[in-house]
Amino acid sequence: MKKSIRLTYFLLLALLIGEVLHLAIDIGLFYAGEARAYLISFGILFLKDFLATVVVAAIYVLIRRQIEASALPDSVAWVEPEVALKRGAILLVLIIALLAIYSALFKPSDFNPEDEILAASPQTIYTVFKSHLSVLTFGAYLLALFIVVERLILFRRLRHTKSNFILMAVFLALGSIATMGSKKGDALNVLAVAFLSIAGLMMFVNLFRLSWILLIKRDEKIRAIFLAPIIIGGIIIGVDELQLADHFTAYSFPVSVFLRGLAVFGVLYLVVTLFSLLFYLPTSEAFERKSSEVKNLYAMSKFITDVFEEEKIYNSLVSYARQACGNSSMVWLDVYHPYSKAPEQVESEVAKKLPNVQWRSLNHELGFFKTVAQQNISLEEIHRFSRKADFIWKHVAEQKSLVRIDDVENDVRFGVPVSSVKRLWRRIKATPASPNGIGSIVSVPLLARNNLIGVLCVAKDVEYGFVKEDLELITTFADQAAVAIDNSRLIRELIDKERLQQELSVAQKIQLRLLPQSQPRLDGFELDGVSYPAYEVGGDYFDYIYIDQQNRMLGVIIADVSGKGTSAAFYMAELKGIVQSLAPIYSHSPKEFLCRTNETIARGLEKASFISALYGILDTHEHMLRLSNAGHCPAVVVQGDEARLIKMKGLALGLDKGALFAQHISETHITLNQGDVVVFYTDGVIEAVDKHGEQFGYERLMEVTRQSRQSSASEIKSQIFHAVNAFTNDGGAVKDDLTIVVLKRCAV
Amino acid sequence: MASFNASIRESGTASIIDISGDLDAHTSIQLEQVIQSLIDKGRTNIIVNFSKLNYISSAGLGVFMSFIDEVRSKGGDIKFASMPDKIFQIFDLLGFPLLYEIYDDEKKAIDKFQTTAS
Repeated sequence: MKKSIRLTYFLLLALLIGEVLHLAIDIGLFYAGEARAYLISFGILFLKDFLATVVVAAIYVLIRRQIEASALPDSVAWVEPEVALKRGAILLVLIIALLAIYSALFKPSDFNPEDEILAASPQTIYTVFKSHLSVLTFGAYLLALFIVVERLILFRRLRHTKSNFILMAVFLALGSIATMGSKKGDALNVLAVAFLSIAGLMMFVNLFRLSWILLIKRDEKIRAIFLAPIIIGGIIIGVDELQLADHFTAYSFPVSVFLRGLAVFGVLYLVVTLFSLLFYLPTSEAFERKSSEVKNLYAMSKFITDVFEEEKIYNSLVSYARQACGNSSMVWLDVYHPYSKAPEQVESEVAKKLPNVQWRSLNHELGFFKTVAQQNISLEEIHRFSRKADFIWKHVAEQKSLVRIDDVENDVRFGVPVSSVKRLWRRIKATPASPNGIGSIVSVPLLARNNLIGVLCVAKDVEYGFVKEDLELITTFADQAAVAIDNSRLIRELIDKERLQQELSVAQKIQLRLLPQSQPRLDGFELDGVSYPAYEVGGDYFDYIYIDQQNRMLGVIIADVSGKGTSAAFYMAELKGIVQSLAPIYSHSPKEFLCRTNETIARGLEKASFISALYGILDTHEHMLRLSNAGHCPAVVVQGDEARLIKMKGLALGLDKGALFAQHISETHITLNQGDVVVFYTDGVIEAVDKHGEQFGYERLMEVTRQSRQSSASEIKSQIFHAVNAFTNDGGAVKDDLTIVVLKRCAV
Repeated sequence: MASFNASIRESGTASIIDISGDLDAHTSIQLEQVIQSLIDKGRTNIIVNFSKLNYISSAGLGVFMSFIDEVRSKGGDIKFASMPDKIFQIFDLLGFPLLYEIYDDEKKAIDKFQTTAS
């Protein structure tokens, strides 16, 4: 950093010293009068040329460093072509104006062609100053132009581009240096002619390096077309009208050769540029479109991996499609809603949501489309169009393929074609031909994993508005968006599922609290129960109800709500409320209790739901169990070493509102002796299957209970559970919720 | 697990639904659709043939409950026929025989519909 600043100061110093010395010599020469010829022959021209070369070289390096320093970090060309042209034109106009004003103010400031000694000697001291001013401004400008052109030529360089350019510059410089010591009017020496010829040849090689033109935008090109002639004209005016070439020569012959060389090259390059700009202008739109397509596609694909909100994807898909097909095109996206529900239900929902199209398709599938994003067209217009053209949506839904209509008005699918005379008349009257003036339309399905997500419609107000490339692009957009929408739906599903899982685990905890938390303590009896739901929550229920204050009577209920999962769990909770409140009231008759329970719960149950229940009232004083069964699995009773099932008639709760239920339910009283065991259970026990599909069944249950009858109630419960588990192990399954309650009269 | 299948046969005024496999909470939706389609067509004399049914869950039983009122209010009925013992036990336990007519032979159910009609 420090080094480069030091270099800048050194260059500035060289520039200053060289220029001051040079100016001093020129002023001296001007006043030398007759001594001029003597001084010139003394070789002072070599000194002048040397100083001039130092000055020009310093200016060149300074400008070059300045342009490089102000370039954007990753800019190869250092300059934006169009910006450079604009600045160049303004700067040139200012310089020409400055020099013109100078010439007008300090007259005469030109050369006296009559002067014999220098061929053209300065008329006044102002002429000397003008020569120096010309080189410092116009000359510096030509150097800057040379640097900019160099950067443009080297842009997207090929293998020989750089060496070609350097060769040209070097030969131009060599040719100029070879003329050192010449004065105005001298012919060029042989060496200079040779070098300059080569330089001229190399110029033609370099003139046609114009690859930068292709990459600038169309409107930039148009501006450039207007700016280039200003610079060309400015240089020609400067050299010609203001006689700057003569002043260059007066300043220094080699510098003059060099700068004139630059002027020629600069003008030629700008002329070639101008013609190329004109030549490329018509094709630039297509080129720009292609590159914007690529850009859009890239943006879209990037967007799609980043965004998971469906709404955002809808809107950006519509935007991208509109950009791709021309900003005036009408674009909208319809999302497909298939329905598997009953028809009446769908129709009312459809009416509410105001869809585009709704119908019953061939395979009795119901569905409708609803617009979720649109541009350049109102919802109302879309609805109006879709009523006329519903076959488009039908086709997309059924065939899952693209629909393209080139001429909406004359398409037979719309009905009777309109005659061309009539159409012309309509156009004259300026009435829109089709609703909202849609002339042509393309509808592309959004498909993900072969499921229809929606349809992207792009419409134009002209007929035949779409070419093959448009269709390909729209399809690509649609495909990408479909994947994104599908992804976002999957993610949302996953999130929903997770939330559901969480809520289910809360429900599970609550349901566990609805089951007895501890075993009742009774004189002479033991009880224990357990319930395992097949899923997170279940429909099995068991409970103990303290019927009186003295701990003499205890209600024991086991029930199984039809169905599984959440709905069963709700009914189970409802049942618990009813049981807990009714049991103390009907404290002596389980039959009466179940009748009332049925009446209460039947009103709240769905038609398809019912509950099987087994209820017993244990009287610990009389050692009596009174049992009633509403369609539940019969209790297993083990007395002595004999097990049996207590089969009883009875309808399940909820199957009948009252009369039939009351008519068929019965009641049984069992006196329990010491060591007797009663087991309540749900069908999960009986219907558990082994790997061959054989059920656990009543026999096995009775056998397990009989064998474990000596154990405690808690132990018997565990034994039964283990027996079922062992049975289903190795490929079998417990299909349903599983509940076991064991009551045992202690053997003292 | 045996998959569930339900197919319809017509026999005079009666429609017979043959069901096979496992009728549980998931497959019951299929049976619902079949019965609904019969009701939609006005065919409310329905006989369900259970001879090939392997398993029925409480949700499966619920299907019949959910339609029986509607069918009977339209002058029809749902009758059961050819039930395997295992299946009948479940129906019997819950008290279904009190609510539905169950025949050991499908023919008897068809005859019953015809005599009621005439």
